[in-house]
Amino acid sequence: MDKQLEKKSLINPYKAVFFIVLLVLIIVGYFYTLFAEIAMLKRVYEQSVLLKIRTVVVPLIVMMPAFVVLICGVVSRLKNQASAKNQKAGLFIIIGCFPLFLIGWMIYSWQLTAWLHDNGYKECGWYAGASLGAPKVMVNNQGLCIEEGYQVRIDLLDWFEVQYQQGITPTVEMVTTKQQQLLSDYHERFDLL
Amino acid sequence: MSTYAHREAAQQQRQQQIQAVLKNNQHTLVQMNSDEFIDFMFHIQLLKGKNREQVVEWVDDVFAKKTVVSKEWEQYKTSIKTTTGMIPLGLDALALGALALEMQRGGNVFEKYQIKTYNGKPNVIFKGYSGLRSHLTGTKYLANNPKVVSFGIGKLGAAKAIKGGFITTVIISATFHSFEQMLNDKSTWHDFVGGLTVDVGIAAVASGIAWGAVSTYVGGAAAMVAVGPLLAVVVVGAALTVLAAAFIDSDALSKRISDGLREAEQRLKEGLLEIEYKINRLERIYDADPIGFMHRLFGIPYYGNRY
Repeated sequence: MDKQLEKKSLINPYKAVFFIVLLVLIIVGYFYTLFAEIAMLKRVYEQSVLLKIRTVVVPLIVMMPAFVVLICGVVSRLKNQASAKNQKAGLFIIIGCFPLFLIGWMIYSWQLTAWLHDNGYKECGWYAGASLGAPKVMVNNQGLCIEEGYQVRIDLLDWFEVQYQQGITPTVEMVTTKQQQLLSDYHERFDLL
Repeated sequence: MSTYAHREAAQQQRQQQIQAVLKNNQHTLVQMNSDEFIDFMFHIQLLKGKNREQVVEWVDDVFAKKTVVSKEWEQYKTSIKTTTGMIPLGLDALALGALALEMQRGGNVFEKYQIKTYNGKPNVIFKGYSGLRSHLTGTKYLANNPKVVSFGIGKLGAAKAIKGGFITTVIISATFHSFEQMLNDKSTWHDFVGGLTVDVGIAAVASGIAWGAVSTYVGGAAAMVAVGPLLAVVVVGAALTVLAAAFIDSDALSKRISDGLREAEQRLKEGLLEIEYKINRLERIYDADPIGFMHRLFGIPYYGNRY
């Protein structure tokens, strides 16, 4: 009886496995986002006309040890090997990662913006939304940043992506024509004419 | 090995387990009635190497110091000295308080305690250490299983922290969208609502995952009362919020929601226009032929011209 009790796990194993899988997926998802971000930044060397960047993605790597610690902690609890000392150390790592992330984010954002400016890119506010995760849109020709494009920015950004994939460098005329067409469709859809 | 010796060895082992568990620095609130507390107190004293007679003397000393006279104690103390099994012993609040105070002073058992009376019977509520819960509720260590009441407090504490981070996200998001609304003529209330919905939704999900993961890590809701785990929830929640917002392209999602709202508004306007048109039509019919109108509406017999 006693041995059985000793062997008995202190946490719900299904819950523990669920969080382990979820945290692993979060880490995988992060690296997927990170590689997409790096690929986007590489386009600077190809003189891509438009970039969608998220300054938060790269510094988030500093937070990954926190997720790894969480996974290891849950695994050790699952195996009944957790100790207060290890948990304290784990919490210290988790909490300690956050200020490093904030500092890293600030410095990286500043450095990246400066680097993009040096490469001829300027921010286009009309193609960026106000959501917390909205990417910062940079263009290497201010003529491509059209104020009226705000309402159709998502479709317009998708069109830019298609042009890039097809190896076409959009001109100001092409972008203006596309933007007018998208806006006209938009007005027609919502009866705003 | 005799049954008695085996039982003693098993008890010794459990006591050692409890001692090890009590060394951890996580807090658990336990509610015990006087019988359970006496039982618990006895085992703690035995753990310290005292025999039954010494424990009874220790209780006598405590009561004498506090000038507490407990009839129940006087009645049962002789049999407690001689018998191995524990005898339930209801104590009044004063006696229970005196023992609890002495136990607290005695060291490594609990930090804080309170004596509360429920249904006319005194209960001691104390703040213990991590892992205590599993031993108190999961073994035959005590005569009865006391109530571990730290869940509510743990959840409340965590909820407070989550609420703090969550509200911060809402405030930041609402501020961003308000500025957008004021400075950008193209932005409408649909964009405001769509953007805020996505941000708040992401923050809520991230906070939930963070709480679940950290509470699983530190050992359940009971351990969440400490500052460390709560801070960890906020930190992990914040990191997950920014990661999720970047991963799922929140701008595209909020645009989809705002376009959906525009469509809904458009349909509503069209519906209202149609209703207005029908009302006008009915008014015209009524003005032209009131009796015919009533006939059409209620089926009243009518032999005039029909529409």
